[in-house]
Amino acid sequence: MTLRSRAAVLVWIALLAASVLLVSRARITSDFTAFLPARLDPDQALLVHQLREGVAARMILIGISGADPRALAQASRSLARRLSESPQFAYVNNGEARFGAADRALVERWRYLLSPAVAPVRFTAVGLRASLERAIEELASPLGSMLAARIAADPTGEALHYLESLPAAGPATREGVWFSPDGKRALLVAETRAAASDLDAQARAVKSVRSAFAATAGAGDASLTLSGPGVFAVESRELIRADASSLSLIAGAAVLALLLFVYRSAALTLACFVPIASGILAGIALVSLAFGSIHGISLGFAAILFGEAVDYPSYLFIHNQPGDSLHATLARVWPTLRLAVLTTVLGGLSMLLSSFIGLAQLGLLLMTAILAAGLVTRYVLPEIAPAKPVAVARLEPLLAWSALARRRRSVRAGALLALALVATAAALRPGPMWNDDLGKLNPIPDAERRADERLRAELKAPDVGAVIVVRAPGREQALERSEALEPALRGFVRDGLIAGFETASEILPSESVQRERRAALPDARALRRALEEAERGLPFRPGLFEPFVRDIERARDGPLLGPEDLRGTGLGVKLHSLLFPLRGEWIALIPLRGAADPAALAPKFDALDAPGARLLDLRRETSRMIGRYRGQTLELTALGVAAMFVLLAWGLKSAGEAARVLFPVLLAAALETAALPLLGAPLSLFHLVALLFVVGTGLNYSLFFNRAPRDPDERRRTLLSLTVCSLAVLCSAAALSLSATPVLHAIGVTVLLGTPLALIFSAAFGRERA
Amino acid sequence: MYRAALAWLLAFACAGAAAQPSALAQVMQRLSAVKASTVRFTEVRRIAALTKPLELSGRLSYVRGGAIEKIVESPYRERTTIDGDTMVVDPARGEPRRYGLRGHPAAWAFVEGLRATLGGDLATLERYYRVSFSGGADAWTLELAPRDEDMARYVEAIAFRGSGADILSIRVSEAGGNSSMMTLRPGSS
Repeated sequence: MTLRSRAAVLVWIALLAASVLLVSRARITSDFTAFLPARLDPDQALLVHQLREGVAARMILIGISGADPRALAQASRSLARRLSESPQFAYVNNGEARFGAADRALVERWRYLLSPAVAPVRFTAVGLRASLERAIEELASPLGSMLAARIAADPTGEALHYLESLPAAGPATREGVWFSPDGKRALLVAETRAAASDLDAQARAVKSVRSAFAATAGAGDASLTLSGPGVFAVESRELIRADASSLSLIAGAAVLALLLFVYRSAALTLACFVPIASGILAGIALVSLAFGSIHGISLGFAAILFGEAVDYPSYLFIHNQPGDSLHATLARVWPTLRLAVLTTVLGGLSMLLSSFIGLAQLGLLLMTAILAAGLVTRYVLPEIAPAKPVAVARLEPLLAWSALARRRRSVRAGALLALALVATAAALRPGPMWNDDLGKLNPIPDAERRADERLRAELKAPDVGAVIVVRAPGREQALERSEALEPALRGFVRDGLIAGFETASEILPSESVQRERRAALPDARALRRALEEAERGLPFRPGLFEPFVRDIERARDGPLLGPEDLRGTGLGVKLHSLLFPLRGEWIALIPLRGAADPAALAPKFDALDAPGARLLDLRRETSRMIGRYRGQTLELTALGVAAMFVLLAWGLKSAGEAARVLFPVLLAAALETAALPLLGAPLSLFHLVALLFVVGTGLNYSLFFNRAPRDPDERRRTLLSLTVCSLAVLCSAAALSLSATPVLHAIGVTVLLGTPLALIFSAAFGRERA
Repeated sequence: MYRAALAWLLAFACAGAAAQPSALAQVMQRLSAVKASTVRFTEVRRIAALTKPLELSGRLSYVRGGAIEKIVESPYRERTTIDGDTMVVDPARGEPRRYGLRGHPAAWAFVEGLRATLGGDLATLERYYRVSFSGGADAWTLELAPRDEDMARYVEAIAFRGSGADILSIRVSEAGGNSSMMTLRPGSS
């Protein structure tokens, strides 16, 4: 070993150790919002905020079924009690009581600022008379004793007015708790304190619900259904984790078997894994260093890199002819290998530049792993691996496919004809070419998705659908703007455009409205006089309404109600979900329920010309956003290919040569792009990623096919090395295509289809040599 | 809370007692045979908040296993229904209001006890009340005192007078000085 090579090995070992350390500490996420763009416009920022933090995203929907209604109701009550005792949940409701004790106390205390019925006329003698007549009936009713204290303090019923003014959307009750319409399922909701994107906390919350249910008396026969974004995210993380690790194992084992068969040497086989293992370690380490965590999908993608990067040592070992040292072989192969490594790295660069954090992660992982694998092949492998030339004759059967490639004319014509046919078919095919639905990235089975939709409908749970977004520089302005919209929204409800809506200002009126209400309250003298007149002829005990006079007095002189006063109440939780600061401004959300015809609603809403308010369809907005950034990714891909061409022209010192190398690979990619939608799966971003990968490996093949061999033996060795390499890629792609995660499956299928195409086209279009 | 509600609900508990097992058993058995009934009532309601008693009249109806209904016809109109675990008060002026009884253990214990009683289930009745029975099957008095402290805070005592399966009066004494004396006219409707 020379000093230089010894230094290379030492640097490698040191970096490897550092990587292992970093990888052991890496945090794995599976937050699908990671595949949203990092640079966001305000609407998108809100969207991502809602997906990560929003109340709808933090809601766990719970169904209990499989027993008689009485037992189900019992289980529902017991589960609700246990969950509300847990600090993990901000809000639990099973329909028993719409408002908790803390809410009632709050409303009691602030009723004269909260009630929409507060107006000067209400506290005149005439206004009070109507309230007092009704109060006698209430006192005489079966609930009279319960109501006596309330009537003395609040004869005009302002607390109830306020509570009844709030929208009550919920399922019907049975046995005192929420039930599905068919009566087969008791329903609950639990809102986690933790954000939906805090998967560890979500996982703990899901576990708490399950164990609380298991501990519920009489839950014997009943079964629990959980749903909601958090539940799904936790489940997909488990699925992706399991998938990524088992697929990596399968891919690794398959490639291992292949290499053992080819080399018949444990040392060479092992050495083949050295560059890629180093590369993946370095890649994961760098990604978790740069991004703080690594996405489960990026890890799954590492499985396919196994296939790609065992290529480099294979090119080296298989080209090693009898009598050659590895150093000598490397000297001949390296110029081509170097170009192969660099073009693949360029492919990764175009992903790294993407606005999608997820894609950027994949890009960084790919670049690091490939570059590291290339460097280790170049500088470390010759030092640590033995020179053991492979006997090509034994492996002749593997080369049988090349007979096909020798019929160059037919393959060329066939390829072009196939492209024309498939492209025409793809163009004529109905349905979208691209799938921009973020939800489809989830590995959640369809059955569970349907169960979620059913639970959601039964619970009338907020859906991420139509919402009015009100923006303002400050909290008060946001409340005022939201308040100003309420009359128009009630009109929409009357016209049947929407079924209902929720506003922050209904929960917490703006300060100006509170001031107006406070000003409507009479002073003690005027109130006593009005009361005296109103009580005339009614049998009320003298002084009965002193608490009323006292409370009005207190409200007149007291402070205004602020959001901090709502802390610890269910109303506060609701308020917080509808009114929050985001990126330096305040947002008041107005979720619309049952917006059946958004197209009819939009012009009516626009006609309001409400300042700072926009009507958004969150679902459509998400797809639009994905679509827009998919376009950007396409542009980057085109740029990446152009950069590859420049690099090839530089490396091969000829633009013509570069075009010759690039053409068959691009042809394979084009054919595949057209063919994939025909196979049933609309293209997604991840197909694009996989196509980039196909182009990367395809270029390796094409480069070697265009390289001038020293002798016929080397020519056959080139053919063998490319065969082995593409078989290795196929092994890992096949493993990936088995994945339940749509993303990983898409990548697997794309590579599985594209690699043979790229190999055969490279052979058929490559330089013709005798 | 629910003091009067409980008292009133109890008014429907046409129940038997323990003093003379045979007479009590007989009354219970006859009450439980009643499938449905509607009777006219007059009620004198004394309320601490008011300087004079209110006199109400109207109809009471009961269907075994179904809803219990009190309809006030004079001096104003109001309909109160208890079905399952929900009480709905529907005044002639104003919106109907719905009250869940499960949220209030005392009220709920009462409703459950009431249903058990109407079904002739003395054991359940005794789980909720100390029961004393006097008289014979043709002229009886049944006095109930809540066992549950929570409930005792609202209802002090309930007394039924009756003859056979007919209940003639229900007196409910509530804590806080409220009371109700309801006179029923069996056979009227």
